[in-house]
Amino acid sequence: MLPRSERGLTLTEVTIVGTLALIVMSAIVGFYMNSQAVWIDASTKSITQREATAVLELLSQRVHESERASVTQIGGDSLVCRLDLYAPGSVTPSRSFWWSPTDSLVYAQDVAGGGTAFTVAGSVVEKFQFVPCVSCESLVELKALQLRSAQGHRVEVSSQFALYNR
Amino acid sequence: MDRRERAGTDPGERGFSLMEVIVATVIATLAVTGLAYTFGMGRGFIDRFEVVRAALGVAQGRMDRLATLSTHAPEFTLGSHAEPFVYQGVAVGNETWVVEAIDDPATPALHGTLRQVTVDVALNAEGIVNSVRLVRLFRNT
Repeated sequence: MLPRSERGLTLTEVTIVGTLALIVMSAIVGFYMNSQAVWIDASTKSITQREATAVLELLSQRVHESERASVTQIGGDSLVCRLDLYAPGSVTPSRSFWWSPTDSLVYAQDVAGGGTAFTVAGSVVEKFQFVPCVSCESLVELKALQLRSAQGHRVEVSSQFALYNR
Repeated sequence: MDRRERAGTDPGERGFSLMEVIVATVIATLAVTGLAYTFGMGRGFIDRFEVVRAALGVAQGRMDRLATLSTHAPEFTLGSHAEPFVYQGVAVGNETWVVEAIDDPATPALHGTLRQVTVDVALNAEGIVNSVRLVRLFRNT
């Protein structure tokens, strides 16, 4: 008879240990995958929220600097618009914000400064909706800015901006 | 002769007692539950601040709207005004703005010409009541 230290393991012992190890590993991997999913989900949502706030700040700053503004709907769809801002005394727009149908992003351009168009947020924009006005006299009303995160969450903000440079 | 000697095992082969396994399991469970709870909390904070960010936009918008009005407008009458705060089509709180006549002792030249507006957006997000407050002075026009 072999001594106890050299006896090895029976098939039953190995099977039980293997099953237990599998259960424990499955639980650990499941927890890790879930944690990862929650982390990515929350992280992308948070980024989209910050982008929404950043767009509001940019719009606020640009509208405050302008004398007047005009809002036109894009393609007859009331959910997406183009905003043109005019510097004091200017007859052509000095700055513009618009929703692009090709990639569903919102672009901005400093036309007067000769700048190129740039995206104001990396997230897809589902609503860029203003109260239409041919020549907004004192106030630009953003009815809804709705962004969609990479995970499909929707973040919506709205505000109003005064044209202080009248 | 103690129990170990009776069992014929040396200390290196003793294994774990039932009590040790139970204690270790309870500690592991507490640690995992705590970790899962922090994930839930973090997620809750993000959802909560989403509505708070929207509330800040509304409060700033109110200030800008008031800035375009004459102080003779109904929105500028002294006292409290209120409107529901709607987020994604659901009323989740109240937007109130209080107009008060105010004198700034540091600027006597403006005596009787200032109004202080306090905009408060109170909301119930994720079961927790939050509020965003902005205060601004307006000159009578």
